[in-house]
Amino acid sequence: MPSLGLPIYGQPSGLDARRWRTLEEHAGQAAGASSEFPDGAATEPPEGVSRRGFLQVLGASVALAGLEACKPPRENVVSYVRQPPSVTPSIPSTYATALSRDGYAIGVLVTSWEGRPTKVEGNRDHPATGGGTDAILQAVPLDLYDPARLSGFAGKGRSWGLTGLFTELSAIAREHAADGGARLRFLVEPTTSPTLAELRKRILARFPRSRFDAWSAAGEDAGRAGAALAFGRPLEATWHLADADVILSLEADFLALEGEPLRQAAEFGARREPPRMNRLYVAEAPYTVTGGAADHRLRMRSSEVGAFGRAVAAELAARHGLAQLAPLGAPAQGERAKAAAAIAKDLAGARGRSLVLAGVRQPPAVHALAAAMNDALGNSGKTVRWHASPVLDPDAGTATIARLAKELEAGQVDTLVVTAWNPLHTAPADVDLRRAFRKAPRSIVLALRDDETARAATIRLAATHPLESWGDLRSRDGTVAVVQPLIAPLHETITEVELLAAFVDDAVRGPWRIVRDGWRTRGGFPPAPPTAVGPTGSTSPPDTNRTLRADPFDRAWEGWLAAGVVAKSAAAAEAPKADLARVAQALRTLPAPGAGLEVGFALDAKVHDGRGLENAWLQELPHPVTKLTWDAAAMLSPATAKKLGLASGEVAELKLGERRLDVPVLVVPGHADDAVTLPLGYGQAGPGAVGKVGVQFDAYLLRSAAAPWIAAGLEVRPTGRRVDLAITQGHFDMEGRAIALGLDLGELDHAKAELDEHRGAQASILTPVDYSQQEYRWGMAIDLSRCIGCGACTLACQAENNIPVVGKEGVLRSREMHWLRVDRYFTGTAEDPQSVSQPLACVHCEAAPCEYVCPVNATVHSEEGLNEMVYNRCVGTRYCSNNCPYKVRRFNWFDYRGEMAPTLQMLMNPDVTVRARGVMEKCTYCTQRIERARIGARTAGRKIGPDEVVPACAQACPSQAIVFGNLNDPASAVSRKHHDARAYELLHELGTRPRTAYLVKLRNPNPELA
Amino acid sequence: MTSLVLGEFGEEAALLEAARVLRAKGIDGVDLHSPYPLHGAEEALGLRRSTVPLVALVAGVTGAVSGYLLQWWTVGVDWPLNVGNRPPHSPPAFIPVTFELGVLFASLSIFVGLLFAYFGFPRVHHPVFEVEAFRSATIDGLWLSAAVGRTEADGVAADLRRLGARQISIVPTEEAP
Amino acid sequence: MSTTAHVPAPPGDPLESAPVLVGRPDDRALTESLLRPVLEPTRKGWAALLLLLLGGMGFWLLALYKTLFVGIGVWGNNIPVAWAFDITNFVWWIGIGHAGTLISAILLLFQQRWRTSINRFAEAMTLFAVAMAGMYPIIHLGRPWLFWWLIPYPSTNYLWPNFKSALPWDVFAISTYGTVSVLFWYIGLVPDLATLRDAAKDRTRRIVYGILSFGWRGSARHWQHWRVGYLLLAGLSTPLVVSVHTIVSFDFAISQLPGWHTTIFPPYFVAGAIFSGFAMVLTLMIPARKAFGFEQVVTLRHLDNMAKVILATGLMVAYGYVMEWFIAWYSGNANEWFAFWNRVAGPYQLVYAVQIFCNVVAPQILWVRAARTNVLVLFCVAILVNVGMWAERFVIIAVSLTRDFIPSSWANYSPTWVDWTLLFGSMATFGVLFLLFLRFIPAIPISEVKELRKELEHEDHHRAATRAAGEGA
Repeated sequence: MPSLGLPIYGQPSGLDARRWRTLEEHAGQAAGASSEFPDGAATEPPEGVSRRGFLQVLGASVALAGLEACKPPRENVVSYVRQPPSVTPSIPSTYATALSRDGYAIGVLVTSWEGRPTKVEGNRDHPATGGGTDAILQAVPLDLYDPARLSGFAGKGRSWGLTGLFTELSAIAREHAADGGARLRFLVEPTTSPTLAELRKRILARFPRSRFDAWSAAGEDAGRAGAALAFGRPLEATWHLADADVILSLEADFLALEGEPLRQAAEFGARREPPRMNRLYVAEAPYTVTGGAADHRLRMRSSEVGAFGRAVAAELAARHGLAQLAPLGAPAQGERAKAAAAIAKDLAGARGRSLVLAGVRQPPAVHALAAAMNDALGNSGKTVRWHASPVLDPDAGTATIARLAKELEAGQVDTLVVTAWNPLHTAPADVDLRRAFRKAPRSIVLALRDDETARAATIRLAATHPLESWGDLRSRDGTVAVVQPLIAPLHETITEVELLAAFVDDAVRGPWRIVRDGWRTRGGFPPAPPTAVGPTGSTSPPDTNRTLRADPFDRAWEGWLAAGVVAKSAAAAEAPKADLARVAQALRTLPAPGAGLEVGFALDAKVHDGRGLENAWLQELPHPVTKLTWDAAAMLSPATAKKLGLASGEVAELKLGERRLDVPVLVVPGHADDAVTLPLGYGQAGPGAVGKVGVQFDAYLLRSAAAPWIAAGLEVRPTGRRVDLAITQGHFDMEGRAIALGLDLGELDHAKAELDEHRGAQASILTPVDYSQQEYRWGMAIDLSRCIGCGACTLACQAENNIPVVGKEGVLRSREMHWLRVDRYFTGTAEDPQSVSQPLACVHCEAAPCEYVCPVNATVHSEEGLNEMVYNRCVGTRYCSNNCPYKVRRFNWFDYRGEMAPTLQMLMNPDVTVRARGVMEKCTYCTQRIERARIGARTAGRKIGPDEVVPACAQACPSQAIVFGNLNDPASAVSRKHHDARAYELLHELGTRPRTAYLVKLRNPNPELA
Repeated sequence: MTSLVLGEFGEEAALLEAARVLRAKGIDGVDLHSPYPLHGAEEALGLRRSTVPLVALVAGVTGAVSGYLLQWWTVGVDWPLNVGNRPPHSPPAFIPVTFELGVLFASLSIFVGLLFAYFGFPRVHHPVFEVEAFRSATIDGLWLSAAVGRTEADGVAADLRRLGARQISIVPTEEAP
Repeated sequence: MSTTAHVPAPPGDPLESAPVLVGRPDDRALTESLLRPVLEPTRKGWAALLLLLLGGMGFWLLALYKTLFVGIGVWGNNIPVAWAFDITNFVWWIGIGHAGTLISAILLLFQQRWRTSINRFAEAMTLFAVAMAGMYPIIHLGRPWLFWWLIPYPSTNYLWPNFKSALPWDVFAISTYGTVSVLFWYIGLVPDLATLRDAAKDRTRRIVYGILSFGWRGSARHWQHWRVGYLLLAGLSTPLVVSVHTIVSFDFAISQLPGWHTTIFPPYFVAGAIFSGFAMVLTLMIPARKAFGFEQVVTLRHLDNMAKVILATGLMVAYGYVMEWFIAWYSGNANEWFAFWNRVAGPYQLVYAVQIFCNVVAPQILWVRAARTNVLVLFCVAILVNVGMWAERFVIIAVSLTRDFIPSSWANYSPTWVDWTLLFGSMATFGVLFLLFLRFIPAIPISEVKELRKELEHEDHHRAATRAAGEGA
């Protein structure tokens, strides 16, 4: 990285004046990172020159360093006058911000190296996460540095700088002002941002006849509609599993995709061991992460889930005195009835401590049913809480976009402003947005990448990445989090805030001012003292303390930024009354499950609704259940596949009504019969370098506005063609070996003898090295009972340790580089198996088989017991891997890091060596984090705390299944886990004495269903 | 001033007999040349037992010992590492290299010893090569060579003819063979 | 044109098997016939074959280039199968090499006369096989340019090799083996080089061979030390050859991988080495003796004996197979048993079938004497054994790796064109070296054959004498 003293040439002073931070601002942001940092924040709060000022310098110098292609940034920058303590080179800082998922906030802490954000962690203080993250969050930095990102603003053969663009936009705005914006439309994503809300209000004030249409393929309108059915208002539910003893999920994948999965997973995980172990029933069609964690998974077609819910309701009404549910109930036959009875009994036995969840794919009536059942069971306000929805667009459903398409078709729209993600791709198939879109004479599209919609636009605007922009978001309970940038924009881009502001001629204030001033007024603070506004471009250091004292808002603001949440901004919980009659009415109109095949559309665990498609980390992440990478496939059950004469990898033609689609199928054990599940988001038109690697099929082409999630009448015909699906795990069967152990809660007490065969000392002719005298003896414990197999740890490890991707070819040759893989095993019948997932990285054997076979001592043991891999010494015989019984070593078959795009170089973690061609690599227990902790402890003249060192995987794990620490300290969590009754060693019989212990997966089956 | 008397014989027996007779006459510089090792040549020329085995033994032991010391010192003393919980000094693991080095040293000593120490090679020229006919010594000729003073040469030549040499030639040389 | 054809063979004893030397050609005749390949003008057939093999060698070099400059990712290897064709080829070649040493060393110690006319041929094969074998451990490294880190030398990073690993043992074993083979071979060659020097007509050959023969002049003093030294080298080579393949087998035996972790490996590998080695000698000798008219010195007796050795070692190998299975079952180790079951039932069962057919079934025909003396049958069996032994190494090395302890990490292996080219290309290169050897160096040790002839003559006289005496009585 070039010296920070580089002069950067910006644009004419008009903008500089706008963009340049005043002293007062400097002061502001200085404290911005300041004061009580949340856990996980790495450094002292900055003082003196603002971090952001520094970031501009950095962003700019980076832009020079990195992107030959892109213009230098807009800001003038100056070299340090005083180096801010927060940015001591080689010491990472951590800052709190928020990222959006379906418009809701997820509070995160971002690690930044001299202003380069490289790593995303969860913000424990934020209601949406218990401190964990998921794979999608871990992959965000790769999006930021993606060389394929858009830059600049262009259209109609013209291109603008920012000034020019704003002039252009306000000109456009003036045109529409005449008729009150009758021919002006905005296609946006459902959002919770107060700032955007305010901007929209101002726009609608200026253009009363224009309209904001919200569209998201992942829209949860069904949930809100269900709430509307039950309570008359589109209330927002938040689920709280900490106190839920019995959980019934009606196809809600609440551990991975729905609600606030990170927090929910944490609460769920905490209840997966005695004494207060919960019990989870899941009724679902595809095998989901949640289904994998269930004690009883009832596989049924999505269309039958509602009926099953009603059967449970009927039981509750008939047998457990919840008569008010009688009109909602409808008894079931056979096995289902038996299950319903048992579940009802269980639920009724846990009133106020149970929870019924309905999934995004279920129709509103089923959501209403769940609400009613919770109401009847007295769970409202306890395990499920209702708030006024923070979403600006409660109806972001297919109806909205259909209406917009009609208007476009009719030529009633002159200017269409699109900030929604790639609507041309995600729009329902029967809403021909592709054609309609081109009818609009002017379409302005804000996009991160050059996707289909951006290409079709007449004016294409490069979007600023969330880690580069200012903004704000609410979480489901209304809590506000301020989005603050970690780095100055790498490219010539603007934010949605600026774009909308441009329509009320306010863009020039810049997003920082707009957001901040908005909160000054919203918070009812006095306007900023004029004295604080410094001379333009002044480089004299500000007097932090004076300005801070001067303005009470600054203190509040900095507090919010530091904590990552706006204190006490949550909406009050409500206690609505359910209108059962209306629910019953809606339930009666539920379409009966049709005969024949039905297709269910699913948000993908990796690419979500498709926006993750260009992210190589997500693409190479094995799917939590199928372990599929790079590709996607239509999932169906073994029986159905047999009936259709299909096998995994074979391409089938799917026919739904008149629409056809060729898709490779994947046989998934435990999938519901007579149902096919299609993941959304793959096969986008004209994908980028990453997106076009896997098999291409666009599930949206079968998705109609009427039936966006479940559709009956699917016809499947084998085509005879087949493709290679890149699956990282070939065998899901343990072959009867004791690998990932599972027990029923009841068996635990009697299992001691059996488990003792998998732990304890092994006879050996070699006297074991004694580590008891060492100050530290590092070890790890992985609780299979908590692990949900989501794969967040895999990507956290990849981001932390600069692990390369190898592409589909590499995976097909089984050369994937993930240091930490999550194995999934199915037990029981292939038709209806249970599953257990087992994260497996180097277990750091004390008697390591890999070590003694290395001819050059490239892998040896440290005094603290780490199995160290010395890259520089490795000559690459690969014998270590051959002799590793856990097969956790990874080899650089090629020069994977040969030509890295300059931006991607910025992504690298400077604490971790980038490996060369021909060397072996593997999990290091995040030794770089251990050393950081050691340095900290030494400077403070103390010992490293028992649980102070947190490796990337443990930090990311949403359900806190992974624990790391010092085994020589009995107080450490890891030693407690190692001495847990459930602890065992993997492949203990080999006498490798691994430092990673596993805890048996517990299941809590209902005896009545056993 | 010496010279080399060369005589070619048709029969092994005659050749060996000639060697014995000349040595009986006190002529020491007698040697035999044949395309393959001759049985009885040793005793006819009164050669002592070869010392090559001794050399090989010493070299072999040296190699084995240094081989073991090498391993013991490098991984046991100079930089002991915890490798898979094995003791730094692990005798069983050191046996193969010890053995191989023993064999290597012994073999090298034999090769080098023979060609250079014993045979005085490389020696691409030698007085006997002056005699064109002597080339048959590596094909089918049985030759006797006697290094004698110039004055005795004719006498020895006469003896050889009497002893049945088919052809005789005298090569003047500077040094002893 | 040799005169030997006209030399009448003495009336052979009907009870005695085929002679080790047909007729009693005199020294000059022997010299001429044995030197003809070297002295006569280049033959068209030889040149054509050389050209063909050079072509193959070209592909081999291309594959080497890919491997060294792009990375071994161009191979099919993966995790878990980190070793596949590379090490398979290594073990296969080194095994082949062993027959040469065995023939020349062990048979010499046991004073087997029939060894005489084939030993140099076999030793040359050893040298070239070892050269081919030695290449694989180097190019299979991730960073081949650092192979010398396996050699103990005082370096600035104070690091030493890890002598607890079998790979440094390999380095010493293979390099020692290569060196000793060269020395043994050359020592034996010196007298013949001198013969060449003296038999050569043109000056260049005289000078070249003159230099190579160091000035050998057949002195009785030299012969005395020469025979002792030669015998000693033979004595040293014998345990060496056994140790080398033992150590090669340690490469696998010291691991804990099911299918590798077996104490039976050393004897079983050595037997396999001799097995494949003799097969390779036959594969090369049968055509060569025809092409260069060596029938009188490499007689059916030689072929017959080699066939017997193949049969014997083949049975040892078969015994090894049986014991592997027995131990896998007897140990009661589920992983071990699965590994072996996987060989017959797994995705590579075809390779295993080839192994069993070629190594166990095919050689049984050699029980029949007619088959042992039928050149065509022998040649076919030899080829099969070569294939079978390669298959065996592949099954042991690669197939064991495809299925180890944790089922989730199981994966199959499929070779790329580079893998195949490195295998067949090395054969072509081996062939090139061998053709050059046949053309420029006497493939049959002349001096030793002459010595042998002498001994046989003695016996003939003796036999004649006793017969005469018998008649007299």
